[in-house]
Amino acid sequence: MARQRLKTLTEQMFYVLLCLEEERCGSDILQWIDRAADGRVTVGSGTLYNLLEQFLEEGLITLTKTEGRRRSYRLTQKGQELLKREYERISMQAADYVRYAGRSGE
Amino acid sequence: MKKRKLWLWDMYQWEKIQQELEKMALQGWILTRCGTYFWTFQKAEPRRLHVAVSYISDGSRYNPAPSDNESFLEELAGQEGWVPAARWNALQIFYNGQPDPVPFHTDREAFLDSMARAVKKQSLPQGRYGIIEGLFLMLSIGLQLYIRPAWVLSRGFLLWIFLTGLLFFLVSFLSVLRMGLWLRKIGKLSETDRIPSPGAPDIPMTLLAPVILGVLPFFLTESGPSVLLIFATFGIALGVYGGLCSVFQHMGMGARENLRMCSMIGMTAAAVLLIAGFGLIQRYHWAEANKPVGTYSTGSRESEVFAAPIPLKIQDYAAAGDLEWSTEETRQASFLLSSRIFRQWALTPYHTPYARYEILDTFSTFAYELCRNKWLHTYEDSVRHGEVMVSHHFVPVDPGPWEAEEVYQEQLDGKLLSEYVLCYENRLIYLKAPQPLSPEAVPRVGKILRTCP
Repeated sequence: MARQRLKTLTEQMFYVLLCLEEERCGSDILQWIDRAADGRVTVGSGTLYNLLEQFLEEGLITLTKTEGRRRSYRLTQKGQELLKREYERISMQAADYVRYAGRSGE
Repeated sequence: MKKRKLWLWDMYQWEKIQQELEKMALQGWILTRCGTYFWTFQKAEPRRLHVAVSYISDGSRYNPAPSDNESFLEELAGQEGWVPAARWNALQIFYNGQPDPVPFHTDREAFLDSMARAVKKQSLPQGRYGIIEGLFLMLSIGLQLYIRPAWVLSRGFLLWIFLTGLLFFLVSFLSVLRMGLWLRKIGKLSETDRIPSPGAPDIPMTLLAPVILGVLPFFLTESGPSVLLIFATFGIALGVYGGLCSVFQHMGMGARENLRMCSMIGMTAAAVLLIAGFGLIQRYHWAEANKPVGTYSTGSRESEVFAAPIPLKIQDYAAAGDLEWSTEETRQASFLLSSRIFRQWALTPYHTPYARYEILDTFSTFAYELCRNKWLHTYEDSVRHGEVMVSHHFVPVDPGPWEAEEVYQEQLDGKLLSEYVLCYENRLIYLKAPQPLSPEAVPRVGKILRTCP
């Protein structure tokens, strides 16, 4: 079943957007995600480029600074809303799991 | 050591490109440059290298240096050990020598999205341009075919242009259709589906030019200078175009400007070469066959006099008096039709008496019917409010004396005039005589026109 574009986020999309709550450049994003997700989520450099292009086109992030080949980005209001919506969706899924599977996810 | 390898895969066939480059790296060949037909490789130590293929929608082969987006991608790629190898329009190729590198693409949707953007911004507009160009060529020739079919069908070069337009149209249309279907298809792909390629490996656009040039000799029945000129024009125009592109690229000219300048100079060079070439051919080659034998004054200007041997002369069917004549012949032939036009005029101030006849030998029913119907509609009745004001058309007359299958004669308001359309098996003749032929002259004229080689 195909997923609608940016209706829901993949794990990598989620972490890239989360990371841009603060202004960061491309290489910082790669390092931050690796650290924040304890190496569980890997974002390839090609994928990061494509995601940044896609988010920029959708107005979810904004280009804040360009220094030579380095570019820095930050989340926009629209991006924050999308990230929050995704958080609520995941939280509801987790809550449903606890309610119906009868476990607290240990 | 360098090696150039013929490379006809579409740039969106990323899996094939990846596999082939990895295989070549194992054999000790590293990609250094992409091209339309040939990719360049440099000899290196054979080793296992990982290859990544990516797409940037604003990438251009005419960029003198990586664009801002390409530089940014290279900077990101460098963080994970990916080294840029070559780029070609939207296509970007990277190598990584680490044993187990972080994959270049870790999200297939983001990869698909980048490919879709490149298709929409680069390949679709190019395809649409190809459709318009193909249609333009076909319509230009098609319109001429409607207006004067014999003129078009007897010129192999025009038929070749029509075929070129048709091929351009078909390949571009199929390519646009395929890309459009691909864009629809990827919207419905599930996560486990294999990513299809939007390219057209079965009909690669890159094969179009060699095919079009390859079939050219079959369309040109006229050999010698004209064929050489056309090939030389293509070669020189392409050489000028390619050479200037590289020079401008080294000079740091932007992609758009480079493309515009090279196209303009390349096309101008081709046009100048064609015009100058055909001028020279006409001057020295064609003129040899149609050399004037003198001139005569019509009062206000000088006219050339020709003495081509023509099969039917006015003297054969009409009282011509004691006049001097100019006789001219024009020949054109293609694999569909051979056309010979003969003209004869008296060296008088008004070029009268004057006769003209055209003999068409057709090699296809299509050409025969098209030319016959066009000639029979040379004249049309003038009709206003449903009433015939002037009745002027060809009417069938007895073909017996002409020994023809069908004969038509011009008729104006019920009076038979001096133009005829004669239909023989595989031969059509349009005769415009100075006056209607006498019944005695008809069998003689018919025999000459029917039997002349």
